[in-house]
Amino acid sequence: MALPRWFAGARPTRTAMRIAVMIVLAVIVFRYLLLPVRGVGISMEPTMVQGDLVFIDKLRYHFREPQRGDVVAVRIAGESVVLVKRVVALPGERVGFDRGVLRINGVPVDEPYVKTSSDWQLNDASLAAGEYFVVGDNRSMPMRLHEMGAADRDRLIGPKVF
Amino acid sequence: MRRVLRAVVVVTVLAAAGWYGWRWLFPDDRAQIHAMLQRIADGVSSGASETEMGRLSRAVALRRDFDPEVTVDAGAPFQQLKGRDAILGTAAKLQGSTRNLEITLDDVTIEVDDARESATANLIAQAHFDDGGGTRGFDARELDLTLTHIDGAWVVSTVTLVRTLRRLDQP
Repeated sequence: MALPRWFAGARPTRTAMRIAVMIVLAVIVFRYLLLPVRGVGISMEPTMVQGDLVFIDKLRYHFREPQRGDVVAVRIAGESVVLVKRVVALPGERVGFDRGVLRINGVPVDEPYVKTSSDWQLNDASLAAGEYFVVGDNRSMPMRLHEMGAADRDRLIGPKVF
Repeated sequence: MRRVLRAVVVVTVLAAAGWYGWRWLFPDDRAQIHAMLQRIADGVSSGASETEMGRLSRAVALRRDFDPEVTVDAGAPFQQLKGRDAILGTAAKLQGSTRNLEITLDDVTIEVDDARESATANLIAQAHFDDGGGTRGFDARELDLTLTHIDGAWVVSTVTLVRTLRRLDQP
């Protein structure tokens, strides 16, 4: 049975080859290179709102360490559900909040991505080797309801690329 | 050539059907545990229009999947629970107080010991529910489970929350 021309084109074999190549490329890209993440919740507003689709670079952290300011995906048990947070403190640093202002090693830090004021209070605490402090950009929510804390290096899948 | 290709396809399809049929008739330990965990998730979930009796009967049906001395520590706001009856009572209360609760399991990893007497599982439990404001609430937790093989069936012995992030404001 011949396939209709509008479906298979003038050269069905070439069309089939192109489809197969696209499928292989999609598998490679979304299995090994990029992780698509759809946002749920408000903890990263306004940087990322409910329903936003972002892509995480899964290779980047194989070539460099996470940096302050990176918006990262944090692995829970696997990659089906991840936390998306921002890295604000690096291993060995002391991190805290004083009346909503982030402090790193006792020094206040400017955070231009935070658009709301907050009254968060957190005594300075040290990060161990290999720990990164991650927190959402939405500081208007009560601190006790905000998922944040020290994440082990091997839980950081990669940074958001777009 | 076409005859050979057809024969290869038929043999492949028959082999695949046979393999899946064998797995369906005689599931291995991992498949049994996975099915049991899914049964628990389905048992705790509750539909928007489900009756109280329906919820209770599903909660009671979960008895067979838990060790009588099971302990569950799923993190705040849930208290640590000990014993099967405490678990089932809490599951029934959760169903009654949470509208349209749906529990799904993802990234399930199961390891069975060589003697087939115990096993461990690591998974994400996702909860979707009506939050009373017209939207769907969401929570996801990583859990470690230990399971025991008793009288030919796998039962859950412990459930422990794995803390993805170390809170610096808590001990």
